[in-house]
Amino acid sequence: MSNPALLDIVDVSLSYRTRRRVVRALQAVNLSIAEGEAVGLVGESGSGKSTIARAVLGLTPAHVARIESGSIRVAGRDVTHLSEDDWAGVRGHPIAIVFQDPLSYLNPVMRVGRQIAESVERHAPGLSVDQRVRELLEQVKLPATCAVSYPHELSGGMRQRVLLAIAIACRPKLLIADEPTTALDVTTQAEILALLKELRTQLNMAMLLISHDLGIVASACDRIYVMYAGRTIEWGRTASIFEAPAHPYTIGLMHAAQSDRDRDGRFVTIGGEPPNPTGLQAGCPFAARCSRALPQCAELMPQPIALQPQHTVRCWLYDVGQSAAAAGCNGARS
Amino acid sequence: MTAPLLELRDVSKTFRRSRTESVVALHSVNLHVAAGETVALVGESGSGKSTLGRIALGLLAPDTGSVLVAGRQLHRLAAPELRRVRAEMQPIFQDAAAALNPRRSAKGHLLQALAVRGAATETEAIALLESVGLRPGHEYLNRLPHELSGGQRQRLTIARALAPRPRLIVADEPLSGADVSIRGQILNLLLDIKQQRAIAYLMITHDISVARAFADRVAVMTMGKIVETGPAERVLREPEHAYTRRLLGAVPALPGPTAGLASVQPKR
Amino acid sequence: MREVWLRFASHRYGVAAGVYVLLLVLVMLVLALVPGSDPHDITSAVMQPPSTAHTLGTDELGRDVLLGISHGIRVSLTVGFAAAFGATAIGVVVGATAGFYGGLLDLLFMRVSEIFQVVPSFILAALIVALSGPGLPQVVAVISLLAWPQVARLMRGEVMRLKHLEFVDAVRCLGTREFTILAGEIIPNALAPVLAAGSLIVGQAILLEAALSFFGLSSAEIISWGRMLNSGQRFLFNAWWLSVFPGAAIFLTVLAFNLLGDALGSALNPRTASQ
Repeated sequence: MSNPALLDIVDVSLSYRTRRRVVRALQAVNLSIAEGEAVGLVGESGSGKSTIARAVLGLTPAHVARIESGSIRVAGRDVTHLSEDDWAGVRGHPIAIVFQDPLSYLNPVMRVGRQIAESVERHAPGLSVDQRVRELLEQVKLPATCAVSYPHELSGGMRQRVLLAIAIACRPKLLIADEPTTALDVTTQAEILALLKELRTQLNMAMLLISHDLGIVASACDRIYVMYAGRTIEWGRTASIFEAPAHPYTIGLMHAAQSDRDRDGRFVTIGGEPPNPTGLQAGCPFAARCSRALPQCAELMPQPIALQPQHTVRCWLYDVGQSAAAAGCNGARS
Repeated sequence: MTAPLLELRDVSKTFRRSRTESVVALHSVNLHVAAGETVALVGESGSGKSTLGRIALGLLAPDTGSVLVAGRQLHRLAAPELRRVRAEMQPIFQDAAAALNPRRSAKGHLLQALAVRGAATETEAIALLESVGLRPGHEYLNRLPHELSGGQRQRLTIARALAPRPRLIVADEPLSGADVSIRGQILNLLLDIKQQRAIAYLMITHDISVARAFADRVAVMTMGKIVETGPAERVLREPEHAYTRRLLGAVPALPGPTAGLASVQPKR
Repeated sequence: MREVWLRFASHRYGVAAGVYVLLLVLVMLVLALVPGSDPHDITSAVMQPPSTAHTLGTDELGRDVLLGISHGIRVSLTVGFAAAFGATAIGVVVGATAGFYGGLLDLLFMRVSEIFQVVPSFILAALIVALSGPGLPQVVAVISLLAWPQVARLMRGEVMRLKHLEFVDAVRCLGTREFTILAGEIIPNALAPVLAAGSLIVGQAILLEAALSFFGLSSAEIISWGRMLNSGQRFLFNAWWLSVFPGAAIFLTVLAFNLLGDALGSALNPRTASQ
């Protein structure tokens, strides 16, 4: 704990405010990533996972998004209210990002070699640019001939590799990958995930992998955060969480991921609808859909409870003081 | 030996991208769906599965080969007969928002579909809405598509597909857009429909787990050809073709048995 | 419907423009139904600047300017709406057909509309009016002919976008005929930008009519704002009120229809509701 965490998000609340309404995208979120660590962030639409990725790099819409409380520190530096000019010192290095749909994030009228070169020139001027571009293409396992292609001439997987090349050109300490494989086929997805793993070891790079897919996060990450409606509701070591998922939402996600069926052959699901981000509820946002909700769930948001040294959950079912009354708790408290 | 409900014989289709370039989307494909059967057509993007789906629905004509519905060639039918046969096969699309007319209310959509069998009444529409889980039905009648959530829109498209009492539903990636928590609900809905109404399905998907959960038979497609077909259990457990094996191997696995879950039938 | 109205009402300028147009219509109706003063009345109060007796002044024949402008509304609005209606009707039919059926029909349409777009509109208008004689029907016809390609292009674009959407396929699977699909599913969804364009065309028509009148190419017996500008130009420096007020009327009215078009366009689009 002597080194400052690479990324430290402390109690951050972020809202989008327009003339008509307020969307509370993040509420009291805590997340930290140490050097070299692979952390996964799992959540569905409205969970706030993409907002975090953007907030960390100052990419949230300026006039609309506001961090109302808490702080974000990158390698010890407070970036919560950074000016646009200062962000240049954070973006790319030490934090780089790749997004979901590579086609939208590549310039359609510029050859990809040139786009990678731009990144090189920005972050490592003076080196032989062409050579560095070639090295990068090799690192992401693309043939050198790709450099002269335009984005639309490449397949989805190849475009994503180009994005990765642009990102690692900056030699980032942390790579944020926001749904990097969602738009890709399953076979390509596997390749990209393998590539990410290799790059991480080669460059000693930490990674924040954001996805709605538990399977991807499970195979690639050491630690996981589960988000729902702008809050982190469960987090810890991957193995711990998968051995004994605590929060009913996490359990529901796992059932869904495995396409588990119940005794009647029906799929085990989470009932109800995903949360409406404009509504402000007191209490746990999952309460309305939770099959094991307790009376206090709708009224008060539970504090983090450590089930194990590396496994924390925010759920009244695990609150020690209530353990006697926590009906339906299946003894997940170890 | 009754003819299968839907049969695609030697279907080929090529698209002209420009004067010099064309893409062979389908290459002599054979597929059949028997009455009440669920066939999963599994393939990645570019495999031609969506094109096959549209040809099956009669939305696209094959260059060569034929589409037979209950033994009769689709393109040989006279127009009124064709319209009647069309109603027997209904689609469910991936993007529910694009699959609904933005200016038509839920009631409007359903009445339009019910008119095919002469049952365009509000009572029937309400019954349909409730059968897909939109309760109370009368509250949803006047809602426009943008006033519904993603899951509700998908349910509406399913209700519309059921309205003409089809014998076959061609579902093209019906779960892809949905949140994980909605997927299970929609899957259950489709299962219920399958069990209660003995409708055949052609389920087009890239997601093996959907095929695993649903299908009686699986056909694996890549680059315009079907490389493997067979009973679902067999294909998914002992794939014969190299591509099928690759496809199955690429799905990221969850680590180990999740002991904390009270789950039945570990389907692996 | 209520939603459309609410959305429209939130555009302040659009509402103001709408009120202005309604006011014009009101004045026009009142003057038509209530026999009042004749704008052609020649009085002895010649070349009077704005005063209490004549709010906007009089011209060289003693005719009251305010009265003239008020009566001129009729010509402007009639020409405006008629031409816009004509252009929209032609444009919708041609554009929808070309966009939906494509192929040779579409190719033909593109070439024809290009011809109309390339010709300098005023000169063509002047030519036709000079040949066929000045008169409102001719002016309306000319403007419709010149303006339909804009509408057709918009319509074609929208139809081409819509025809690939899944809801069209879904309706096909119900056995609906192609023409019914075009008329019942596609066109209603393609109308929003067209109605907005229609409003702009009213503005363009008013301008074109004013221009024709300004150059003396319209009937001298009918009072129109352009005509008033035509007579007033000689006295631009001595009697500024003869040019400024009719000019302002044209400006305000065209602006109003432009703003109305904007507001209508976004109000009719159901997807902008979520913002």
